[in-house]
Amino acid sequence: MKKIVLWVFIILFAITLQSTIIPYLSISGIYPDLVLASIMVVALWYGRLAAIWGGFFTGLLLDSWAPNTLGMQSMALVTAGVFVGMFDNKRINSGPFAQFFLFLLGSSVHNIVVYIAVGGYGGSLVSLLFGQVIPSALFTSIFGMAIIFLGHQVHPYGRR
Amino acid sequence: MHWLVEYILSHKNGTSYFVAMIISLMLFNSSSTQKQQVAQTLGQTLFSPVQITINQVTNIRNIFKENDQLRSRVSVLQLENAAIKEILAHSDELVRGISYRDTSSYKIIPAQAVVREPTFLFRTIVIDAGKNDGVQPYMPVATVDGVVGKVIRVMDRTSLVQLIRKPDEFVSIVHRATGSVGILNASASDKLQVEYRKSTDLKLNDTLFTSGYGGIYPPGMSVGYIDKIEDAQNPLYSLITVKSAVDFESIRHLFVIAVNTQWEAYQIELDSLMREVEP
Repeated sequence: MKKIVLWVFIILFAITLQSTIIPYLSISGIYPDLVLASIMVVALWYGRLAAIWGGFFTGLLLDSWAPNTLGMQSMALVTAGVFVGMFDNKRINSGPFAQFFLFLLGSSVHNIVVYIAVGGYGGSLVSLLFGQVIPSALFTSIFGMAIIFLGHQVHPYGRR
Repeated sequence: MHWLVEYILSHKNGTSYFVAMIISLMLFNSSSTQKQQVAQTLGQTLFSPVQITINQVTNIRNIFKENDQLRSRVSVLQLENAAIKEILAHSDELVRGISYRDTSSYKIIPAQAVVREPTFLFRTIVIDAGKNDGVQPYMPVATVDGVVGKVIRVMDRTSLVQLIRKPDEFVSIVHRATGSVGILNASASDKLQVEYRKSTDLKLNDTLFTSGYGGIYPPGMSVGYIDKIEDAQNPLYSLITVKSAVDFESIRHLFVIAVNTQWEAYQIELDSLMREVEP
Protein backbone atom coordinates (compact mmCIF):
# COMPACT_ATOMS: atom_id res chain seq x y z
CA MET A 1 0.00 0.00 0.00
CA LYS A 2 2.86 2.31 0.91
CA LYS A 3 4.43 1.64 -2.49
CA ILE A 4 1.18 2.35 -4.35
CA VAL A 5 0.70 5.63 -2.50
CA LEU A 6 4.29 6.58 -3.31
CA TRP A 7 4.07 5.92 -7.04
CA VAL A 8 0.63 7.53 -7.28
CA PHE A 9 2.15 10.56 -5.62
CA ILE A 10 5.14 10.54 -8.01
CA ILE A 11 2.91 10.30 -11.06
CA LEU A 12 0.50 13.00 -9.89
CA PHE A 13 3.41 15.26 -9.09
CA ALA A 14 4.84 14.55 -12.56
CA ILE A 15 1.50 15.39 -14.22
CA THR A 16 1.33 18.64 -12.28
CA LEU A 17 4.86 19.60 -13.33
CA GLN A 18 4.22 18.49 -16.90
CA SER A 19 1.22 20.79 -17.23
CA THR A 20 2.82 23.75 -15.52
CA ILE A 21 6.61 24.04 -15.62
CA ILE A 22 7.84 21.58 -18.26
CA PRO A 23 6.46 23.54 -21.29
CA TYR A 24 8.93 26.30 -20.39
CA LEU A 25 11.84 23.87 -20.87
CA SER A 26 11.02 23.40 -24.54
CA ILE A 27 14.01 23.40 -26.91
CA SER A 28 13.00 23.90 -30.55
CA GLY A 29 9.52 22.61 -29.76
CA ILE A 30 10.80 19.45 -28.09
CA TYR A 31 10.31 19.05 -24.38
CA PRO A 32 10.63 16.14 -21.96
CA ASP A 33 7.70 13.91 -21.00
CA LEU A 34 7.96 13.82 -17.23
CA VAL A 35 4.89 11.59 -16.91
CA LEU A 36 6.47 8.99 -19.20
CA ALA A 37 9.73 9.28 -17.26
CA SER A 38 7.82 8.65 -14.00
CA ILE A 39 6.03 5.59 -15.44
CA MET A 40 9.35 4.16 -16.63
CA VAL A 41 10.91 4.77 -13.21
CA VAL A 42 7.91 3.05 -11.58
CA ALA A 43 8.41 0.15 -14.01
CA LEU A 44 12.08 -0.07 -13.11
CA TRP A 45 11.47 0.06 -9.38
CA TYR A 46 8.21 -1.87 -8.97
CA GLY A 47 7.95 -4.05 -12.07
CA ARG A 48 5.60 -4.49 -14.98
CA LEU A 49 2.31 -4.83 -13.11
CA ALA A 50 2.67 -1.43 -11.42
CA ALA A 51 3.78 0.09 -14.73
CA ILE A 52 0.82 -1.39 -16.64
CA TRP A 53 -1.90 -0.11 -14.32
CA GLY A 54 -0.02 3.07 -13.49
CA GLY A 55 0.48 3.75 -17.19
CA PHE A 56 -3.12 2.84 -18.01
CA PHE A 57 -4.76 5.15 -15.46
CA THR A 58 -2.25 7.93 -16.02
CA GLY A 59 -2.84 7.67 -19.75
CA LEU A 60 -6.60 7.86 -19.20
CA LEU A 61 -6.12 10.88 -17.01
CA LEU A 62 -4.04 12.62 -19.70
CA ASP A 63 -6.47 11.56 -22.44
CA SER A 64 -9.45 12.90 -20.54
CA TRP A 65 -8.13 16.42 -21.34
CA ALA A 66 -8.15 15.59 -25.06
CA PRO A 67 -11.04 13.13 -25.56
CA ASN A 68 -10.47 12.86 -29.34
CA THR A 69 -7.46 10.64 -28.69
CA LEU A 70 -8.90 8.79 -25.70
CA GLY A 71 -6.93 5.56 -25.17
CA MET A 72 -3.83 6.67 -27.09
CA GLN A 73 -1.73 7.76 -24.11
CA SER A 74 -2.91 4.67 -22.17
CA MET A 75 -1.62 2.38 -24.92
CA ALA A 76 1.66 4.25 -25.30
CA LEU A 77 2.39 4.48 -21.57
CA VAL A 78 1.39 0.86 -20.93
CA THR A 79 3.63 -0.34 -23.78
CA ALA A 80 6.59 1.76 -22.63
CA GLY A 81 6.00 0.63 -19.01
CA VAL A 82 5.88 -3.05 -19.99
CA PHE A 83 9.04 -2.65 -22.05
CA VAL A 84 11.02 -1.06 -19.23
CA GLY A 85 9.38 -3.33 -16.65
CA MET A 86 10.87 -6.37 -18.39
CA PHE A 87 14.25 -5.20 -17.11
CA ASP A 88 13.17 -4.07 -13.64
CA ASN A 89 15.49 -3.98 -10.66
CA LYS A 90 14.08 -7.24 -9.28
CA ARG A 91 15.41 -9.11 -12.34
CA ILE A 92 18.46 -7.17 -13.46
CA ASN A 93 20.66 -4.99 -11.30
CA SER A 94 21.39 -2.57 -14.14
CA GLY A 95 23.80 0.34 -13.86
CA PRO A 96 23.05 3.96 -14.69
CA PHE A 97 24.15 3.71 -18.34
CA ALA A 98 21.99 0.65 -18.92
CA GLN A 99 19.08 2.39 -17.21
CA PHE A 100 19.56 5.46 -19.38
CA PHE A 101 19.63 3.28 -22.50
CA LEU A 102 16.52 1.49 -21.28
CA PHE A 103 14.73 4.81 -20.79
CA LEU A 104 15.84 5.91 -24.24
CA LEU A 105 14.34 2.77 -25.79
CA GLY A 106 11.19 3.00 -23.65
CA SER A 107 10.65 6.66 -24.63
CA SER A 108 11.20 5.81 -28.30
CA VAL A 109 8.66 2.98 -28.06
CA HIS A 110 6.17 5.40 -26.45
CA ASN A 111 6.73 8.03 -29.16
CA ILE A 112 6.41 5.49 -31.97
CA VAL A 113 3.12 4.17 -30.54
CA VAL A 114 1.81 7.75 -30.33
CA TYR A 115 2.84 8.50 -33.94
CA ILE A 116 1.21 5.27 -35.16
CA ALA A 117 -1.96 6.04 -33.21
CA VAL A 118 -2.31 9.57 -34.59
CA GLY A 119 -1.99 8.23 -38.10
CA GLY A 120 1.64 8.72 -39.01
CA TYR A 121 3.95 11.61 -39.54
CA GLY A 122 4.18 14.07 -42.40
CA GLY A 123 7.92 13.54 -43.04
CA SER A 124 10.11 10.54 -43.70
CA LEU A 125 10.87 7.83 -41.11
CA VAL A 126 14.44 9.13 -40.72
CA SER A 127 13.27 12.67 -40.00
CA LEU A 128 10.66 11.25 -37.60
CA LEU A 129 13.31 9.28 -35.73
CA PHE A 130 16.07 11.90 -35.64
CA GLY A 131 13.89 15.01 -35.64
CA GLN A 132 11.29 14.00 -33.10
CA VAL A 133 11.51 10.55 -31.51
CA ILE A 134 15.16 10.39 -30.43
CA PRO A 135 15.58 14.04 -29.26
CA SER A 136 12.39 13.80 -27.23
CA ALA A 137 13.44 10.37 -25.89
CA LEU A 138 16.85 11.74 -24.90
CA PHE A 139 15.27 14.66 -23.10
CA THR A 140 12.82 12.35 -21.29
CA SER A 141 15.58 9.87 -20.39
CA ILE A 142 17.62 12.62 -18.75
CA PHE A 143 14.62 13.45 -16.56
CA GLY A 144 14.08 9.77 -15.83
CA MET A 145 17.68 9.50 -14.61
CA ALA A 146 17.14 12.62 -12.52
CA ILE A 147 14.18 10.91 -10.80
CA ILE A 148 16.29 7.78 -10.22
CA PHE A 149 19.06 9.96 -8.77
CA LEU A 150 16.59 11.77 -6.46
CA GLY A 151 15.12 8.42 -5.43
CA HIS A 152 18.56 7.16 -4.44
CA GLN A 153 19.21 10.32 -2.49
CA VAL A 154 16.00 9.81 -0.51
CA HIS A 155 16.27 6.04 -0.10
CA PRO A 156 19.75 4.84 -1.14
CA TYR A 157 19.33 1.05 -1.09
CA GLY A 158 15.59 0.58 -1.07
CA ARG A 159 15.15 0.10 -4.79
CA ARG A 160 17.68 -2.68 -5.37
CA MET B 1 -13.90 -21.09 -14.80
CA HIS B 2 -11.52 -22.12 -12.07
CA TRP B 3 -8.72 -22.64 -14.57
CA LEU B 4 -9.28 -19.16 -15.97
CA VAL B 5 -8.81 -17.54 -12.53
CA GLU B 6 -5.72 -19.63 -11.98
CA TYR B 7 -4.35 -18.66 -15.39
CA ILE B 8 -4.97 -14.97 -14.70
CA LEU B 9 -3.28 -15.15 -11.30
CA SER B 10 -0.30 -16.99 -12.67
CA HIS B 11 0.03 -14.62 -15.63
CA LYS B 12 -0.83 -11.35 -13.92
CA ASN B 13 1.49 -9.24 -16.04
CA GLY B 14 0.44 -10.63 -19.38
CA THR B 15 -3.27 -10.57 -18.53
CA SER B 16 -3.04 -7.02 -17.18
CA TYR B 17 -1.22 -5.86 -20.29
CA PHE B 18 -3.78 -7.58 -22.49
CA VAL B 19 -6.76 -6.09 -20.59
CA ALA B 20 -5.22 -2.59 -20.45
CA MET B 21 -4.43 -2.65 -24.18
CA ILE B 22 -7.88 -3.98 -25.11
CA ILE B 23 -9.62 -1.30 -23.06
CA SER B 24 -7.31 1.38 -24.51
CA LEU B 25 -7.94 0.18 -28.07
CA MET B 26 -11.69 0.05 -27.50
CA LEU B 27 -11.62 3.58 -26.15
CA PHE B 28 -9.41 4.75 -28.99
CA ASN B 29 -11.67 3.21 -31.63
CA SER B 30 -14.94 4.35 -30.07
CA SER B 31 -16.97 7.15 -31.65
CA SER B 32 -16.21 10.71 -30.69
CA THR B 33 -19.50 10.99 -28.79
CA GLN B 34 -18.62 7.96 -26.70
CA LYS B 35 -15.13 9.34 -26.17
CA GLN B 36 -16.61 12.60 -24.95
CA GLN B 37 -18.94 10.76 -22.57
CA VAL B 38 -16.13 8.56 -21.18
CA ALA B 39 -13.83 11.53 -20.78
CA GLN B 40 -16.62 13.45 -19.05
CA THR B 41 -17.35 10.53 -16.72
CA LEU B 42 -13.67 10.11 -15.96
CA GLY B 43 -13.34 13.78 -15.33
CA GLN B 44 -16.37 13.95 -13.05
CA THR B 45 -15.65 10.83 -11.02
CA LEU B 46 -12.17 9.38 -10.93
CA PHE B 47 -10.01 12.27 -11.78
CA SER B 48 -11.92 15.30 -10.58
CA PRO B 49 -9.67 15.87 -7.53
CA VAL B 50 -6.59 15.72 -9.73
CA GLN B 51 -8.16 17.95 -12.34
CA ILE B 52 -9.22 20.41 -9.67
CA THR B 53 -5.65 20.49 -8.34
CA ILE B 54 -4.18 21.00 -11.81
CA ASN B 55 -6.81 23.60 -12.66
CA GLN B 56 -5.94 25.40 -9.45
CA VAL B 57 -2.25 25.34 -10.37
CA THR B 58 -3.12 26.64 -13.84
CA ASN B 59 -5.35 29.29 -12.28
CA ILE B 60 -2.55 30.33 -9.96
CA ARG B 61 -0.23 30.64 -12.93
CA ASN B 62 -2.88 32.72 -14.69
CA ILE B 63 -3.31 34.81 -11.57
CA PHE B 64 0.44 35.56 -11.54
CA LYS B 65 0.27 36.49 -15.21
CA GLU B 66 -2.83 38.59 -14.66
CA ASN B 67 -1.17 40.18 -11.65
CA ASP B 68 1.79 41.21 -13.78
CA GLN B 69 -0.52 42.64 -16.42
CA LEU B 70 -2.52 44.51 -13.77
CA ARG B 71 0.67 45.88 -12.24
CA SER B 72 1.84 47.28 -15.55
CA ARG B 73 -1.69 48.62 -16.15
CA VAL B 74 -1.65 50.28 -12.73
CA SER B 75 1.70 51.90 -13.58
CA VAL B 76 0.27 53.25 -16.84
CA LEU B 77 -2.87 54.49 -15.07
CA GLN B 78 -0.80 56.12 -12.34
CA LEU B 79 1.15 57.99 -15.00
CA GLU B 80 -2.08 59.01 -16.75
CA ASN B 81 -3.57 60.04 -13.41
CA ALA B 82 -0.53 62.15 -12.60
CA ALA B 83 -0.73 63.78 -16.03
CA ILE B 84 -4.45 64.51 -15.58
CA LYS B 85 -3.86 65.93 -12.11
CA GLU B 86 -1.12 68.10 -13.56
CA ILE B 87 -3.49 69.38 -16.24
CA LEU B 88 -6.25 69.97 -13.68
CA ALA B 89 -3.87 71.80 -11.38
CA HIS B 90 -2.98 74.18 -14.17
CA SER B 91 -6.34 74.28 -15.91
CA ASP B 92 -7.46 77.43 -14.11
CA GLU B 93 -4.17 79.11 -14.97
CA LEU B 94 -4.50 77.98 -18.60
CA VAL B 95 -8.08 79.27 -18.88
CA ARG B 96 -7.04 82.61 -17.44
CA GLY B 97 -4.06 82.61 -19.78
CA ILE B 98 -6.24 82.07 -22.84
CA SER B 99 -8.57 84.84 -21.70
CA TYR B 100 -5.60 87.16 -21.12
CA ARG B 101 -4.19 86.35 -24.54
CA ASP B 102 -7.54 87.04 -26.23
CA THR B 103 -8.14 90.33 -24.45
CA SER B 104 -4.59 91.68 -24.44
CA SER B 105 -3.90 94.60 -26.72
CA TYR B 106 -0.35 93.35 -27.27
CA LYS B 107 0.85 90.48 -29.39
CA ILE B 108 1.36 87.58 -26.99
CA ILE B 109 3.75 84.63 -27.40
CA PRO B 110 2.74 81.81 -25.03
CA ALA B 111 5.56 79.88 -23.37
CA GLN B 112 6.30 77.49 -20.55
CA ALA B 113 9.09 77.61 -18.03
CA VAL B 114 11.25 74.58 -18.77
CA VAL B 115 14.40 75.16 -16.73
CA ARG B 116 15.19 77.25 -13.71
CA GLU B 117 18.37 77.89 -11.84
CA PRO B 118 19.17 75.07 -9.42
CA THR B 119 19.36 77.49 -6.51
CA PHE B 120 17.00 78.36 -3.70
CA LEU B 121 16.57 81.95 -4.86
CA PHE B 122 16.63 81.47 -8.60
CA ARG B 123 16.72 84.66 -10.63
CA THR B 124 16.61 83.39 -14.19
CA ILE B 125 14.49 80.82 -15.97
CA VAL B 126 14.50 79.28 -19.42
CA ILE B 127 11.30 79.28 -21.44
CA ASP B 128 10.39 77.11 -24.43
CA ALA B 129 9.92 79.96 -26.87
CA GLY B 130 12.78 81.42 -28.86
CA LYS B 131 13.80 83.18 -32.03
CA ASN B 132 11.67 80.81 -34.13
CA ASP B 133 8.59 81.92 -32.19
CA GLY B 134 9.34 85.61 -32.64
CA VAL B 135 10.98 86.24 -29.28
CA GLN B 136 13.60 89.00 -29.22
CA PRO B 137 15.92 90.23 -26.48
CA TYR B 138 14.45 92.60 -23.86
CA MET B 139 10.87 91.58 -24.53
CA PRO B 140 8.89 91.61 -21.29
CA VAL B 141 7.64 88.34 -19.86
CA ALA B 142 4.52 88.09 -17.72
CA THR B 143 1.90 85.73 -16.37
CA VAL B 144 -1.78 86.51 -16.09
CA ASP B 145 -1.01 87.79 -12.58
CA GLY B 146 1.70 90.24 -13.46
CA VAL B 147 5.24 91.00 -14.54
CA VAL B 148 7.82 88.22 -14.37
CA GLY B 149 10.91 89.71 -15.99
CA LYS B 150 12.49 90.25 -19.38
CA VAL B 151 14.18 88.14 -22.01
CA ILE B 152 17.93 88.59 -21.87
CA ARG B 153 19.14 85.92 -24.26
CA VAL B 154 17.39 84.30 -27.20
CA MET B 155 18.16 80.95 -28.78
CA ASP B 156 16.27 79.32 -31.64
CA ARG B 157 13.74 77.48 -29.50
CA THR B 158 14.39 78.71 -25.98
CA SER B 159 15.05 81.99 -24.23
CA LEU B 160 16.64 83.02 -20.97
CA VAL B 161 14.45 85.23 -18.81
CA GLN B 162 15.77 87.43 -16.02
CA LEU B 163 13.25 87.79 -13.20
CA ILE B 164 12.40 91.16 -11.70
CA ARG B 165 13.68 89.91 -8.37
CA LYS B 166 17.26 90.01 -9.62
CA PRO B 167 19.04 92.87 -7.81
CA ASP B 168 20.34 94.54 -10.99
CA GLU B 169 16.85 94.68 -12.49
CA PHE B 170 15.02 98.01 -12.26
CA VAL B 171 11.36 98.45 -13.10
CA SER B 172 9.62 101.78 -13.38
CA ILE B 173 6.33 101.53 -11.51
CA VAL B 174 3.41 103.77 -10.79
CA HIS B 175 0.95 104.05 -7.92
CA ARG B 176 -2.23 104.67 -9.83
CA ALA B 177 -4.25 106.38 -7.10
CA THR B 178 -1.62 109.10 -6.65
CA GLY B 179 0.18 108.88 -9.99
CA SER B 180 3.52 108.68 -8.19
CA VAL B 181 6.28 106.97 -10.12
CA GLY B 182 9.12 105.02 -8.51
CA ILE B 183 11.90 102.64 -9.43
CA LEU B 184 11.39 99.12 -8.14
CA ASN B 185 14.51 97.17 -7.35
CA ALA B 186 15.23 93.89 -5.59
CA SER B 187 17.37 93.92 -2.48
CA ALA B 188 20.14 91.41 -1.91
CA SER B 189 17.61 89.24 -0.08
CA ASP B 190 15.32 89.39 -3.13
CA LYS B 191 12.79 91.72 -1.52
CA LEU B 192 11.21 94.03 -4.06
CA GLN B 193 11.52 97.53 -2.74
CA VAL B 194 10.74 101.05 -3.91
CA GLU B 195 11.15 104.47 -2.29
CA TYR B 196 8.33 107.01 -2.37
CA ARG B 197 8.11 110.45 -0.91
CA LYS B 198 6.48 110.39 2.50
CA SER B 199 3.83 112.77 1.31
CA THR B 200 2.49 110.16 -1.11
CA ASP B 201 -0.74 108.69 0.14
CA LEU B 202 0.08 104.96 0.09
CA LYS B 203 -1.87 102.18 1.75
CA LEU B 204 -1.06 98.57 2.40
CA ASN B 205 -2.21 96.20 -0.36
CA ASP B 206 -2.36 98.97 -2.96
CA THR B 207 -1.47 97.58 -6.38
CA LEU B 208 1.54 98.92 -8.23
CA PHE B 209 1.70 98.85 -12.02
CA THR B 210 4.39 99.34 -14.62
CA SER B 211 4.58 102.96 -15.68
CA GLY B 212 5.91 102.33 -19.17
CA TYR B 213 8.76 104.82 -18.58
CA GLY B 214 11.46 102.20 -18.28
CA GLY B 215 11.34 101.42 -21.96
CA ILE B 216 10.91 97.69 -21.57
CA TYR B 217 7.65 96.98 -19.77
CA PRO B 218 4.52 98.42 -21.34
CA PRO B 219 2.36 100.53 -18.98
CA GLY B 220 -0.45 99.06 -16.89
CA MET B 221 0.99 95.64 -16.03
CA SER B 222 0.55 94.57 -12.46
CA VAL B 223 3.84 94.31 -10.57
CA GLY B 224 2.76 93.64 -7.00
CA TYR B 225 1.09 94.87 -3.82
CA ILE B 226 2.35 97.10 -1.03
CA ASP B 227 3.33 94.72 1.72
CA LYS B 228 5.15 96.99 4.17
CA ILE B 229 5.72 100.71 4.60
CA GLU B 230 8.69 101.84 6.69
CA ASP B 231 11.07 104.77 6.99
CA ALA B 232 13.84 104.94 4.42
CA GLN B 233 17.39 106.11 5.14
CA ASN B 234 16.48 109.47 3.61
CA PRO B 235 13.98 110.96 6.11
CA LEU B 236 11.93 112.42 3.26
CA TYR B 237 11.14 109.02 1.81
CA SER B 238 9.32 105.84 2.80
CA LEU B 239 10.73 102.44 1.94
CA ILE B 240 7.98 100.32 0.42
CA THR B 241 8.33 96.56 0.34
CA VAL B 242 6.34 95.10 -2.53
CA LYS B 243 4.91 91.62 -2.62
CA SER B 244 5.19 90.38 -6.21
CA ALA B 245 1.95 89.67 -8.02
CA VAL B 246 3.60 86.53 -9.39
CA ASP B 247 4.42 83.48 -7.29
CA PHE B 248 7.87 82.76 -8.66
CA GLU B 249 8.02 79.36 -6.97
CA SER B 250 5.09 77.96 -8.95
CA ILE B 251 5.72 79.82 -12.15
CA ARG B 252 4.86 77.72 -15.18
CA HIS B 253 2.77 79.22 -17.98
CA LEU B 254 4.07 82.53 -19.23
CA PHE B 255 3.62 85.03 -22.00
CA VAL B 256 6.26 86.90 -23.86
CA ILE B 257 4.83 90.29 -24.80
CA ALA B 258 6.03 90.99 -28.29
CA VAL B 259 6.79 94.70 -27.98
CA ASN B 260 9.98 96.36 -29.15
CA THR B 261 11.95 98.16 -26.50
CA GLN B 262 11.11 101.85 -26.54
CA TRP B 263 14.60 102.91 -25.63
CA GLU B 264 16.00 101.31 -28.78
CA ALA B 265 14.93 104.35 -30.80
CA TYR B 266 16.39 106.69 -28.14
CA GLN B 267 19.61 104.73 -28.22
CA ILE B 268 19.91 105.29 -31.98
CA GLU B 269 19.25 109.00 -31.47
CA LEU B 270 21.73 109.12 -28.64
CA ASP B 271 24.38 107.34 -30.67
CA SER B 272 23.98 109.79 -33.58
CA LEU B 273 24.21 112.71 -31.14
CA MET B 274 27.33 111.25 -29.59
CA ARG B 275 28.88 110.88 -33.03
CA GLU B 276 28.13 114.54 -33.72
CA VAL B 277 29.62 115.68 -30.41
CA GLU B 278 32.74 113.56 -30.70
CA PRO B 279 35.39 114.91 -33.09
